[in-house]
Amino acid sequence: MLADYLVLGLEPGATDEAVRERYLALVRIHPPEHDPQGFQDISLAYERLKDRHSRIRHQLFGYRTAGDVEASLAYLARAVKPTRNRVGLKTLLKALKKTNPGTSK
Amino acid sequence: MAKKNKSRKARKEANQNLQKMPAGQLRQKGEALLAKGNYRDAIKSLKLVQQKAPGDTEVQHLLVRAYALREMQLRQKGMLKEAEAVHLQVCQYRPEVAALEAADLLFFLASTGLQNAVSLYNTYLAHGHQPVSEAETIITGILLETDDWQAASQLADTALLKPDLPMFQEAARLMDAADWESALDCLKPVSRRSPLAPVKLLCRAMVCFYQEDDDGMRRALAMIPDRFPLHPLMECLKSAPDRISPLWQGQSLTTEQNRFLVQRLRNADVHGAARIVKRMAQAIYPQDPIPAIEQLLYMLLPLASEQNLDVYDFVNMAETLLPGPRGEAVAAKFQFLAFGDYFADTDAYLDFLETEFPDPADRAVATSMVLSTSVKWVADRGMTYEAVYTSRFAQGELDRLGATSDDPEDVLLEIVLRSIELDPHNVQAHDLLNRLPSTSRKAKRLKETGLLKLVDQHPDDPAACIALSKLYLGKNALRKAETYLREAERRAPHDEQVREMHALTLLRSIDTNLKRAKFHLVKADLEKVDALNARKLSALVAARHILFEMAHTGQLSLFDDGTPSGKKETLASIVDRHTAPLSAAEQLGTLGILEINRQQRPESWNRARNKCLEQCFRSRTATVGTLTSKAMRHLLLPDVDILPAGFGRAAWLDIFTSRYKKIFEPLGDEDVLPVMEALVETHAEDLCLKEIQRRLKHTAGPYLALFRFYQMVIRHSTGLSRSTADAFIALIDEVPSRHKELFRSAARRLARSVGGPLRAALEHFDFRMLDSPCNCPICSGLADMDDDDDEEEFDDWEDSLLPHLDSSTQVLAAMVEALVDTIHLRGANQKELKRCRNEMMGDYKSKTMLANMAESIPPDVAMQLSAEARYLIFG
Repeated sequence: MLADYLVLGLEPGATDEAVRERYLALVRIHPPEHDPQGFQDISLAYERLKDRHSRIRHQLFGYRTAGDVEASLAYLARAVKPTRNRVGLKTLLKALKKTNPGTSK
Repeated sequence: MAKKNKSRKARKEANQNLQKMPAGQLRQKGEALLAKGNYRDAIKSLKLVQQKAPGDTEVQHLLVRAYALREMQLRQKGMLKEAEAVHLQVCQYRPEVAALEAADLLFFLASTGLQNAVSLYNTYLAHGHQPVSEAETIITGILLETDDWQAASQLADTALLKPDLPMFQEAARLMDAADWESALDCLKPVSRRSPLAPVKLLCRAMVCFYQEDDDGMRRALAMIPDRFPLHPLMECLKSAPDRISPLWQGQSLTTEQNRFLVQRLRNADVHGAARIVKRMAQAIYPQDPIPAIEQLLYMLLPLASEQNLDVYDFVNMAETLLPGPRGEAVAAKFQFLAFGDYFADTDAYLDFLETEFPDPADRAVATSMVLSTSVKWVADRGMTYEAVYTSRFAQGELDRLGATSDDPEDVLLEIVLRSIELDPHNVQAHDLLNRLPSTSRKAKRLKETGLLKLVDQHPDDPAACIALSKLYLGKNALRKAETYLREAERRAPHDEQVREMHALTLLRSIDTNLKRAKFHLVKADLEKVDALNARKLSALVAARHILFEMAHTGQLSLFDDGTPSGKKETLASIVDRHTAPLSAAEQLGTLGILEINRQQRPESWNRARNKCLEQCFRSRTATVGTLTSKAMRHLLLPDVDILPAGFGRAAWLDIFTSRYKKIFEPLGDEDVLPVMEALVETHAEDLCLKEIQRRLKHTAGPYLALFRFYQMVIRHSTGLSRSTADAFIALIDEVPSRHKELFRSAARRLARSVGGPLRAALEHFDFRMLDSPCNCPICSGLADMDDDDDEEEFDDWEDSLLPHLDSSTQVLAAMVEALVDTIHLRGANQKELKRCRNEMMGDYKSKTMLANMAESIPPDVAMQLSAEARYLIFG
């Protein structure tokens, strides 16, 4: 369940409307032609969270049938993405100097 | 000190060698050093060349280049004073600004600081040159890095950048404040040719980055020219933004971490795995790692079925990692998921649902799902009796699940009803209510109650009406069944299945009333069934019309003005009249139904009628060859529901195969396979082998091998000729891999009709099993052991033991100890004990035995058991 919320970038306990809105927004950013894996993950997460019955069924029995543990963990790893931090130009230049000394004036 | 002197000496020697070098060689060396980026030594070499050959303009050009690059290098290192000193040299050696070409100007601008750049550019413009946009782009970049707006304000008025400076300063402020969207807005008026265009593109790239549009970001960055001084930043953003750490918040999981965790568990290192789970949970959801731990544990649970682990390892891990009730809830859930076919585990898990689902509405739905799923597992595994009776001998558990009955069949239905009560939209519970067996009167009543509720709760759904009508059909309450079918038709007016079901119900009613000779009811039902126009059942309807006309002769005139009484019509003409509008296959189907009636009710068939029916069959011999493959398949393999009760598929097939020798000829290779399987199932193997023999002569491709496979299986199972495993394997190996699936599925289907090792080989599609000896009790001869002998042996053992024991629990304890000795566990280490217990827990019967022993042995007796016995029973 948590992995599915993370895939959609939502906090656990988000409403059905929030889940749907986020799903539609993400599908626009990750269309199947350009990002098939991303699209697959987003669709899977939406299928599991779209309504109360799907959510509860998945929470109760979702992983009982998941034979491939590695695939489930890989799905979780893809879901756990660091968020994008807002930084200014000076911070970026300073970080670049640290990472790559001598590349910037 | 000695080391320092040594290096000084070496340097002195190198200098002396350099000075001794000829000018040409020195120049080559200078050029090489310049290319390598060693500007300081390049300057040294080129200065010597200039001393040796003064006035060489090319050398001077190289030297100024080396000075400029050295200045840039020093500025990058932050050695500004040294850079300024080198800049003086650049000024000394560089050509006059008036004579400077645009490309050289860009080079000198890019290598110096902002003040020098502004001054150089101003001088360049003062000599009457046109403003150079690229040069101002370089100044823009340097300005962004240095923020020296005072120096920028000294730009000549003719510079392109000068009027846009206030706007640029505001945009730079917003960029530093990370407000990239506003900065982009601010730079909206900037044109594509402006020196500020790269800055605008950088803002657009960052806006795309924060919108998670990485492609858009890369597109914007690709448009920024290479000479823009912030180019290294652009490159990094384009190729590896993840390397700029301030851009990201939070951690990520790596595939190595995942692999490491799974490996730990597979090595049964539960404590190590628990540590990794804890660490990973922190990375996944730092705000609250508990749900992340739960998530990881659920994901890892399928590993419990692997050899080295069992569900108890996961239960222990959950209780270690999670505090208090959360850990207990997860542990209870694990037990439920692993052994949900015991209602005791279901009951234990329901106690913890409140922790998992705090919202009452969610909890009701979850409880309903848990109950219905538990019943489904029990029903699917055929464990109804075991589940109910081994519910830890406690009726209380079943009471809590909503079951009060003692009968296992009723218990399941009661739990399903409770599940529907909690969540009327539980589709699984609806399905269970339809398909669970209900042989007893109470079970039927329970099912009826549940279905009646569903009919009321879902006023638009025909499914409950259909299920209810099926139930009434089973009880022979045909009118009630018809009432609900009419209701189902009202709810789903275009559903063909509902119409067919209604028609079938009416046909059953017709059959019953024909037997009772209630012809007025038969007539009414025939009119109803005609009105339904169920096309797929037209053969059955026609047969009932014929049977009706056969039966009512001489009486019909009392009810209507149909066939005039006194004028007797022959059976052949009745059959022809009713079958005329039907297709050839439907006509044969009608005759088949009449034949069934002849076999089931011979008293109503006199000699003339029998002869007439046979004549009807004979007259249609020619049409058999004209049927399509599909039509023939449907004729020979009808839906079992349409055949009258007590009349099986074997008898139906026999009706046609006994009359028409070429009945299989119209069937294509694909359609003949299910017919052959039906023949094998109905023990008509001879007929099947004959047809295979005929087809082997003219079939090619994968079906040729498939027919040979069927032939081998049938001959093997009937004992005509036993094939070895090698023969089967050789036959299958001949087939291309893309056709193997055809064989695999055929083997699975054929397995249903054969027995012994061949059945196992077909089920597993592994024919080596035919040659390997079977260890099952039946094959190993254990089953032949006389049960009485066993009992006597046990009685002797019990008699010798009982006088020394106080109670039945002590007998049980002694049995446990005997078991430990029998399986050679006495003195075994913990790993061996665990392996043995895991193996026993994997087998249903052993698991039940251990559970029963654990239940029956009281704690004081348990304490007296040996360590091995305690571990084996209690884990």
